[in-house]
Amino acid sequence: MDVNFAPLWISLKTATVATIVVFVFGIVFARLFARREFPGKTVLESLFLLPMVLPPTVVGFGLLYLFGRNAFLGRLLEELFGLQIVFTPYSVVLAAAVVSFPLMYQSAKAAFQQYDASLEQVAYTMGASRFRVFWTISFPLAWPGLMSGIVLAFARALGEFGATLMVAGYIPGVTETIPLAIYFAVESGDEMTAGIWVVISSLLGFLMLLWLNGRNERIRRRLTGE
Amino acid sequence: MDGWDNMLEVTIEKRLRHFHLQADFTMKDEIVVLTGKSGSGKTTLLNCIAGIAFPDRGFIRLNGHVLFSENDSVPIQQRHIGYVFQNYALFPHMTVMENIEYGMKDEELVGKLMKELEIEHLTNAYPQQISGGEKQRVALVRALATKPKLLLLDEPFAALDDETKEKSHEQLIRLHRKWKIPVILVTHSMSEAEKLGDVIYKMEYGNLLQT
Repeated sequence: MDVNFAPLWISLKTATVATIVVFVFGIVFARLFARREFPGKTVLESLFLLPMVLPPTVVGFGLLYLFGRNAFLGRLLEELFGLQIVFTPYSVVLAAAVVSFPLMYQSAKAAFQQYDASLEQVAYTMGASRFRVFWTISFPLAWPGLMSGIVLAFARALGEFGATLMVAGYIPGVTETIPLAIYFAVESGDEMTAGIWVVISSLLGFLMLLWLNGRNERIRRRLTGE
Repeated sequence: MDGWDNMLEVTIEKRLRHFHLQADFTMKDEIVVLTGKSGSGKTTLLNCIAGIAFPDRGFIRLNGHVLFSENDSVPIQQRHIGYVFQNYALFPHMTVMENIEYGMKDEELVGKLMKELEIEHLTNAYPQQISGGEKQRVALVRALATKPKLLLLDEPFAALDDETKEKSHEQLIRLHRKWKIPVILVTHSMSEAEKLGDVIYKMEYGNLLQT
């Protein structure tokens, strides 16, 4: 049996980079929005969550419209940095990041809301800077929830298909992620390869959820003192 | 500047949901007690002094320095005010010692305080593992460790049993005699107010009345 494992590495690499990007943006926006009310907040939040409810093909179309070779942002990036987005691994990362951002944002926002605001306030009264309070109080207290966000975002990024196909296309060894490999293996009648990827995919997803649920259960037990 | 030492002056107004908060008082290094129903604006007044909330009008001066005025507000970090929250707000992911060290300015002083308030043996415990009375003492030491110029105590004894409460009252009186800084204490209990307060104010729908 001869299986080319490139799709696994491409998937893991792009999903990892997408998750890191989404983690950084997710915690910044979540912390800013978690305990603050301002006009336009609900509109902005609805926009953040939009990729979760849209068909991935709509997201893909939108990204093509923005980052295509003739599109404004696409042209700008190419002229400034010689960077081509569509049909490269960058677009795989981009598509994965956009669809997984809502999951990270939701988890992070809940994480920053679940501890008592007075913990940050009392730290300020002790003279701590915003930066110090964030890293020594907010971040560690939100960490369990942030970790859930990371796992969910990573899993979603790994599973992205529709938007990826539209902006990254099917280029074996370059943009061929596991979901694309499955689709095109079935298309060409190679059910054996498709089956292997289906098993690997299911296993990865299951292990991640198993770990997450086990961890949540341990945290629950620690908090309730059972 | 001697005349300004240990003096807090507050003249503020703030619109709240159901009423106006109006406070106008001056205090020296004494214990001022604020009593009044829940929701009458006591905690908001403490928050305004600490820099967590902002008045709409007026000024707050501590030892002659403006902390708040209509065109100036000193950031919360630079006000040098110790604040013990109602729930004590101990950092749950840090040990007692780490909590106290967070804003500590003087290690020797902290050692003495910990001994005096009998929390020395708790250094490596986490807040979840200690009793309510111990939490209250840790929160008090943590606030004093920053060498504050003013101490705000928001119902620090409310969650304690009678015996612990009694002991905590004595400790506060003793500490205050040594520290000689202005202390504002919020409480629901009139007997506590009479026992601890040099001056007692009653808060009613945002208005501060001296009793």
